[in-house]
Amino acid sequence: MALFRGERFYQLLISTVVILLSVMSLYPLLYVIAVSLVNEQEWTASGGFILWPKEPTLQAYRKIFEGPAFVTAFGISVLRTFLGTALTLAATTITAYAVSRRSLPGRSFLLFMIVATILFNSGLIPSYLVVKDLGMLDTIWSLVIPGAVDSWSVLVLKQFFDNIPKELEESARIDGAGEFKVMTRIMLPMSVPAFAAIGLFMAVAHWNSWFDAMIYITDATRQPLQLLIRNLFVSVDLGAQFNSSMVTNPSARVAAESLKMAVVVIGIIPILCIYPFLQKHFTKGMYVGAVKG
Amino acid sequence: MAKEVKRLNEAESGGRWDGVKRHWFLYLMLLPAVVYFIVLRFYPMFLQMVLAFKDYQLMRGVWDSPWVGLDNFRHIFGQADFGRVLRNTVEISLLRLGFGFLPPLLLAIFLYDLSKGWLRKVSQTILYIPHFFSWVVIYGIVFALFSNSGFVSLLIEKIFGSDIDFLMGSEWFRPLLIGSGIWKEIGWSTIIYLAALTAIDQTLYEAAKIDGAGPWKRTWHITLPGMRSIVIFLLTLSLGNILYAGGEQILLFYSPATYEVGDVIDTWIYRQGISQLQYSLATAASLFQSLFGFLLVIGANYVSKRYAQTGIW
Repeated sequence: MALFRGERFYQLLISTVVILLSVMSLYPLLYVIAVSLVNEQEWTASGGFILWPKEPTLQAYRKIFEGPAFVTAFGISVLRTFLGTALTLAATTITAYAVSRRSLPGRSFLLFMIVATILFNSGLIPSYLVVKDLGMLDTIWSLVIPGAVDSWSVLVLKQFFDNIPKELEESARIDGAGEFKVMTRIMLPMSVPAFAAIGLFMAVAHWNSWFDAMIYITDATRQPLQLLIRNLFVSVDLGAQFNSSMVTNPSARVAAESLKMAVVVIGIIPILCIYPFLQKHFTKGMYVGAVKG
Repeated sequence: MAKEVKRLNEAESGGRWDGVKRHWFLYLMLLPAVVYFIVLRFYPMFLQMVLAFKDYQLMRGVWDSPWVGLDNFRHIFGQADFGRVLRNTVEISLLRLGFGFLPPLLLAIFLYDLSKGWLRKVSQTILYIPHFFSWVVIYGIVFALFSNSGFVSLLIEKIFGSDIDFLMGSEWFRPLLIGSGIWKEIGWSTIIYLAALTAIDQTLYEAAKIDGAGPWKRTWHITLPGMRSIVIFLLTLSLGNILYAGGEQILLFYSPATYEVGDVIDTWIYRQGISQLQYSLATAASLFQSLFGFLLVIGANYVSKRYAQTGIW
């Protein structure tokens, strides 16, 4: 009993649990990578039971990049991520700045409207009909305009502007600075960390988003990467699609499973690349903003 | 100095209209957002309220389609199908809450109590990663482990000699759905608890140690009470979202074979609306979901403010 209650036992127990959970978080990822590096011969021989490939090969990746659909989808995802993040960040910033000015007539009404959009959903079909009527179906705009102003981010940024010491602004105004100068010389430069954080999270959301494309994009050549990945998982004859029937040598062919895992890895890589930057911005404020994201 | 400026401003501004004129630059900045909110947020809300009471006909459009009163709602709630959908939605939400609430809370306490700083740092870095994966990627990972040629399926076959069809059968649908959801968010969810824990006065722990309190007692009497209000806040928040059971994830995971246990309001709306072009029925269901969800969130916020002194607003 004394042992069970002891400090060292407690530390041992929680270390074990934390290490175990970390392994459980990481291992599936390693397994996905392992399968993506296997050729058909090894896949068949092992019956799919792979710990790590004996002869790692990038064939699955080569075959995927050779197909035209994939490169286009990758490009569309990159485009929507940059365009969408830039647009939302710009729109969200100017909106948050304006509603953070306490002297602005109508300010509380505007804030109320912003909160209303968080609390009340407009529904899938009405949103679809509006996007359709605006002629945005099957265009990149359908992926970036519907989320152009993010209400949560407006509130988070407004909070950030509110916390910038008033004295800075007041002394600038006494020196004769107008609204534009106050914004560009004081408020925006002070908020760079907030922009970085919000921008990174928006970029991740754009990269990961697939459902909007499933509704708004019907043209198969205009799908972003995540939707293409989803469709590859649904398709039945993936192996035949990507392996030329001329190639019969099983070590030069790739199993459908390896192809699937390779596209998953490609979907993950950009996330892993910006992850170190993301990690800097894990704070409570960002978390609450991301709950309903 | 602050007062001076304020007086200066007041002296300048005559009436309300002067204030508006003086801030023309700010209103110009608000213009894109106002247009956006009107066209892409409030107009669809309005459209939702109209369409739910009309019989939408593709050729005639929203405005020329006939009004039908409550027919759409009568039709939806008359279907046995929709009763199942409602039940699934609430059940899946509650299961997510029941199984998903405690693990991140415990993990946060463990991370907080770890004496080895390097272990905490390394494991946090790893544990947060899955949060940033898309649901498509999560499905890919689940497929990698649980399809017939997946790692876990093969492992079970090797050890027990029997194979389980994880992805096709309806009995494994919910465990996989909820399990993979927990796997994705367990690390990330600890952040909000850890933020709450930083507010605890460290001298409390020192004093408790001197008084002879072991780690379990310290957790029970200091750490847990320190998390009380954030726990109530998060619990009420998830109860407020009970009609949103994670449709995006389910849409990837389910198949006609698992509709029985997996079809929820969001997926039902998607199938009725986008696949079968039943715009009115889908909109009526989404209006029901929005209205009811709105009331639940308002109620949850009230409860949270009252008992935890923290609300969403």
